[in-house]
Amino acid sequence: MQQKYVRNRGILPTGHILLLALWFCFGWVGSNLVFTEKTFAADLFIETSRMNFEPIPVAVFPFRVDGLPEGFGYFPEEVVKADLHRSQLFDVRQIDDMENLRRKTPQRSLIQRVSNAGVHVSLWGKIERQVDQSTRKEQFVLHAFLFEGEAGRKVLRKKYTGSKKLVRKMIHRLSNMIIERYTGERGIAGTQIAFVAETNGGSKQLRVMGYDGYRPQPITDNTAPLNLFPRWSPKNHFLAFTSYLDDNPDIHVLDLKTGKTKNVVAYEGANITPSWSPDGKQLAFASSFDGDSEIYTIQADDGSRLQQLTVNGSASDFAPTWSPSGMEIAFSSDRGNSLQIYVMDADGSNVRRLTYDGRYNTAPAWSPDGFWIAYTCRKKRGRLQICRVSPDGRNPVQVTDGPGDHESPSWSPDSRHIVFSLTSRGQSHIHSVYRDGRGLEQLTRGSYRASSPSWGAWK
Amino acid sequence: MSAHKVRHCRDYVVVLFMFAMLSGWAGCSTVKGLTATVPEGGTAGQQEQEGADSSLSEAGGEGVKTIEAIGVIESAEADRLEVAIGDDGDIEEVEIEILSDPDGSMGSGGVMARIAPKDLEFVLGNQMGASSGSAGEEEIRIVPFVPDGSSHSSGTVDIIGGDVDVPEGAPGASDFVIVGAKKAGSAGEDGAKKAGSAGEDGASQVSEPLVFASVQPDDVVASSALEPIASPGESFFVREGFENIYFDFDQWAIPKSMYTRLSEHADWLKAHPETEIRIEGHCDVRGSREYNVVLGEKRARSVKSFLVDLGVPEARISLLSFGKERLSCLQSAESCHQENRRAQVVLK
Repeated sequence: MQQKYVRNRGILPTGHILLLALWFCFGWVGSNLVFTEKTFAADLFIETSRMNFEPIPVAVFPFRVDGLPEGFGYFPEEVVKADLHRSQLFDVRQIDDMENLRRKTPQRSLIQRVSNAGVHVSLWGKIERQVDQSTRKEQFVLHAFLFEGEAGRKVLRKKYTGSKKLVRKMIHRLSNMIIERYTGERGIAGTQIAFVAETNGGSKQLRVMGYDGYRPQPITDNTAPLNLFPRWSPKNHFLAFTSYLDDNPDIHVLDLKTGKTKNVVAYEGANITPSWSPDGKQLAFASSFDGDSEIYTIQADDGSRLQQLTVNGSASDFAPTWSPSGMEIAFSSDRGNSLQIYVMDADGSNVRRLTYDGRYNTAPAWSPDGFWIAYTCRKKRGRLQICRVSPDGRNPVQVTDGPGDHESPSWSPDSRHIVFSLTSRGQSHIHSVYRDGRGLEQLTRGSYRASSPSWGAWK
Repeated sequence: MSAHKVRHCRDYVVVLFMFAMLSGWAGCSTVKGLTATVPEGGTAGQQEQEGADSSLSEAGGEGVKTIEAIGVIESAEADRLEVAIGDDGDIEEVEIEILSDPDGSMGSGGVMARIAPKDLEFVLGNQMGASSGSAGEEEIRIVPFVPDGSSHSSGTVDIIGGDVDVPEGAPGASDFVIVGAKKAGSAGEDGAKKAGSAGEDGASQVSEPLVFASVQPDDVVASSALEPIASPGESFFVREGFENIYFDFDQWAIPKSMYTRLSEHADWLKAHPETEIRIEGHCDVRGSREYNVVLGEKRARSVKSFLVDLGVPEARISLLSFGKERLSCLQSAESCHQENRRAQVVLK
């Protein structure tokens, strides 16, 4: 943790004393984060992701957009505002008469007005289409201007260039730059989420969408009736998932660069719930080829070197998830007559029970920062909710508490959000929530049913 | 292996494409007279029968035999049409996936569909030429699809689970195979559903867990509606005549009420040593997806052990868990949950 902040120090402009002070302030809060959460996390729904943190008020003026085709589909500033809001670091303020400002460069008087209202960070940008005279190649340029302090001084001008396809990525990049500037933390804007989409025919295929639910794209389109439990590899190059393509639940690995899929675990029986080791070399998974489901590892590239981690004749062990250190694996098991989360060393030794609350706790997901394990828990009225617990079994917290079944949690790369599926009245969609239970957001919409999300790593 | 299995699988898929207009059939409209026409190899003999106690009857035309059935279009979307066939009281369900819309207009065309068990393709035509977009009464014809123009041959029909001789001299005997040659609704899935909800009452209904027959023009009247066709959501693996085994909530032990049924399955399997089965385990919607795949597997394994204990060779049985990914009922009532907590035994 501490190391992270030391490393990030280099990002900050050294000349700005104000910023440095700001950063020290948040850095201090951040480094205390661990301590405070471990102590007070049981305060359900009161605990916030950043204790005592007051979000930074920010204003985002409407961007000027030149040369983008009709039906561009969104306003760039709305994307930035949503990104900043989602980061939980900013208090994005509404400005009156926004539309009247759309095509104008914000005047100093306006920035001053905003500043007088107590908003000391404001942002404006413009997107221009450019055509290279010689190559005739079109590209888009995003210019961003950041104003700061009581005087609303222009402190930063940033330029992003790319093809039309990349415009939204450039906008997310801008958001992340702002998040990093004020916190030293990496933003998650522009990351991706894979999930299972069930269409009318009942076939379940994988899709990938933006972390904000933007434009789900089909990833698999095979004849398998079911493709389940997608998991991103640590560097987002591969998706491992369970596919019924060969009439048996096997684990397939899809290379997202080549589009080729390999069946790497095809034992007779259910081969399910793959999980990548942090170095991306191994897959842990559950297989029932030997009777009851047990947890194994194999080499991810070719399925070689099968290693059995759990040995438990009468119980089913499944849904493994690696700790980010690679030293431990949490999993779900119905040993002991109820379904609970356990943790073991990565070689299968030293198994200890993690959850004691209730009789139905499953589908663990270890947070990338290592401090939490999220899981599906059965709570009042038999509803599935999302819970989390420290890897030492302390501080169990119920994260969601709404109607419907919440399940299959997966962490954002910054460990501040959890994505899951919410099934209610026959509908099933992907939602995200802050780790403290606030900020519930529906990400998928439409007639299909979405489930089993997996949040990809940093881009 | 995979390619073979996929092909195998596709034989069971009720399906294939349709001429236009189906996208216009929204909601629920009645199909009056769902007819299947069987080609007769050139001999034109027109005969027509009304099935007094059956949902199927036959009619004929130039070189064709027509089997009629009353059906209801349950729902129609751009790429899928569900038709229920049968009497009002004994509705059987057909699922048809529309894969293409070749000429963009309904006209005298229809759906080209393949109906399980295998090698039967039909053109589902619109006899009335109903206008697109109308909901209400429609008349649909099922005409066997003969790709090379030749007729279907008569004689022995290769039926899943054993050959059945088509009686000699049956005019226009077709390859049309019906599983569960009982009156629609008393066999197969419908019976199983009833049995599942009625407990031991259901067990007593299970007299003939698996009955195969081929449908001839002459015995159409006595045969059931299109029994082997998958119900909605199960188009990939067509259910055969084995009745489902139902389980208690979160349990994988076989309930006592299912013993009789399973014993009958075992008896049938022992009497048909050439058959192989797959046991498919399913769960209701309430557990987690991950655990339900495990639970479904445990249920399938329970059924397997039971059958093996009764003398069915282990080698003939394979397992496949669907968890809660293939629900047969989407409501949240307990009866619906019960219907989902099942093991389905299918012939491979």
